[in-house]
Amino acid sequence: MAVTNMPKARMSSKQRRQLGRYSAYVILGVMALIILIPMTWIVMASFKPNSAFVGPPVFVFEPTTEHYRAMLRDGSFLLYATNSIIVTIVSTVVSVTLAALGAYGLARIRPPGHQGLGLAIVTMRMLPPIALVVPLFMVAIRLGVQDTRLALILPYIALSIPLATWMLQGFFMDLPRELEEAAWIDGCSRIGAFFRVILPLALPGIAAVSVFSFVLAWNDLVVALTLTQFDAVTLPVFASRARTEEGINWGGLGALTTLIMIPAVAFTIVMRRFIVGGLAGSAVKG
Amino acid sequence: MTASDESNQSPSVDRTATAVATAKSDNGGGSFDPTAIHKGSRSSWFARTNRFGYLLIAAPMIMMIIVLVVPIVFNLYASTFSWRLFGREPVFVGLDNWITVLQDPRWRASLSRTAIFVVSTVTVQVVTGFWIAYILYKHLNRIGLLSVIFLLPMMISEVAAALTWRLIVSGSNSLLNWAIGFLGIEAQQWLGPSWAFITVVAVDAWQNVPFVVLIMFAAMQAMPTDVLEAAELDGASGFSKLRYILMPLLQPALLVVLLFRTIFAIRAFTTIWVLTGGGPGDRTAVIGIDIYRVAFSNFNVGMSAVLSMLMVVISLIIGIGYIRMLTREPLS
Repeated sequence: MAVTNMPKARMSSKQRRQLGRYSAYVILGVMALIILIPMTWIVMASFKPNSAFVGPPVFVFEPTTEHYRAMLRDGSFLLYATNSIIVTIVSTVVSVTLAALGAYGLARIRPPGHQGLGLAIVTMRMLPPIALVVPLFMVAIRLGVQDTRLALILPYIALSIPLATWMLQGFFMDLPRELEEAAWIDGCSRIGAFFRVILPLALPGIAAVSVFSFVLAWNDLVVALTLTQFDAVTLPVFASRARTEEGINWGGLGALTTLIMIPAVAFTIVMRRFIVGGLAGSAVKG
Repeated sequence: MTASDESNQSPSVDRTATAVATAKSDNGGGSFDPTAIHKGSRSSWFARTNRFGYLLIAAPMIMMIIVLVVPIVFNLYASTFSWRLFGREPVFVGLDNWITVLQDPRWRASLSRTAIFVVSTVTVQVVTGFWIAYILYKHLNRIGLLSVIFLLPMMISEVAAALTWRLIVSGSNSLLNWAIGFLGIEAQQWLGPSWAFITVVAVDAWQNVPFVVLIMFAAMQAMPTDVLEAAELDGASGFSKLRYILMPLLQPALLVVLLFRTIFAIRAFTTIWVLTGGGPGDRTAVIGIDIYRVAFSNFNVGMSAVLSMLMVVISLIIGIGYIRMLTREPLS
């Protein structure tokens, strides 16, 4: 696309820019559709009567909440949902707390060797969970915690800590040091200054990190599939068990899938600024 | 590294640090220091603070060592045993499992299938993501609200994404088959023998391409615009712009995306498990699927440990490349 003679080029380049802008809008629109149509389709499925799953796709139908009502009457669903909620919340709270303290130590106290420790934490993030689950399963059996919520909570804490520590370290380092020092001079202890000054200022960071930890535990299949069987089964495991093609109750499975998606979608919308920042910060800047 | 270290610290800490340095050198701990807040000598304050720092880092560290490092050591150990999940005692077999994995055609097929999956899924994602990001960058200043939509696929559970796509592709009356019917294409078995692998790669792309677009778009916006404009004025062709200007400028971001996508493609499990379970036959059985099936269907812990170790080692090699980039970056 070499520039030809100037006056003509200026005209056509303006037109070309206009055209380019439209093509960019088209691409954006197509991408948004490719993302949203499948998600809409599964949500629609959850409101369709069973008769709508026979024959060609149905777009117009009498919406029904029967699949959701059936789910709420199903005792095993209620147990699995409770498991998911407890496991996710406990592991998020613990991992973010531990990560915040560790990140504060690394970013603010900076004891000798803090860089090596930071790198060790980043390295932990490279470890693939699927390569750890068989040993974890055997340990859980031996300790008698297999198929309990505890057996899920501990791995989720450990798996969230690397990213959480790494992100929070960045947030803590960005805060002006003078504020904390002012608190010390006013008689705050180190830990008091952490809770009263640093933590409130790092709240956006804490929130973003919490979302990532929450989503990690809430979405996980790998660990839960291995470490649970009956009592501690979580919603993704429950959903993944519908594996035979015939006889899939797509209405019910659609409702379950929708429920699994809701927290992640809600967090993404509410926290979008922090998530983009966190992702960009952790992925590009490091 | 030390230079950036010191410059990151605020003046008062620098003062304490140099004060401690001099205190160490002349052994005189009792000099006057206006910034000393806590009682006791400065060097002991420092030692106490450092100890406190280690204490804070210890909790997350211990947690990670127990859950993440111990299993790896266990895998290394178990890989040298003929080890059944239940029943008889493990028997030491040395490197037999390793030799089997690297020689037996069945495992070699599985490893090369994984390699093909990783290369194709990463290539598709990075190339598409880069291309879309570039078009957007050239013509728009910001993505705005749409960035929320772009975040959704990677934030929702892989289980949800895979189930959603299973609903869309499975059956002759599925949404996708219905839609291509308008183009005159006959219904395909998207999870059948000839398409399953491609479908799996496509669903993985659906979840991750938007993320690549967001990251690359952000990186492109951080580029100095005048370089590109100057090149355009000098009549640089599309290819040479890409090769000599965009690539070097975007190299750090591109490498990060590439390494990250590779690490996550190597550990692929959930999407494939829910879509195909590794089938039909073994057509989508990548190493992650094999680790699970070998341990929990064949009850062969030793073999699954070998596969796990291979995955860990390859991930770490790639990860160390990434970490080396991270540690180099602050200096540039």
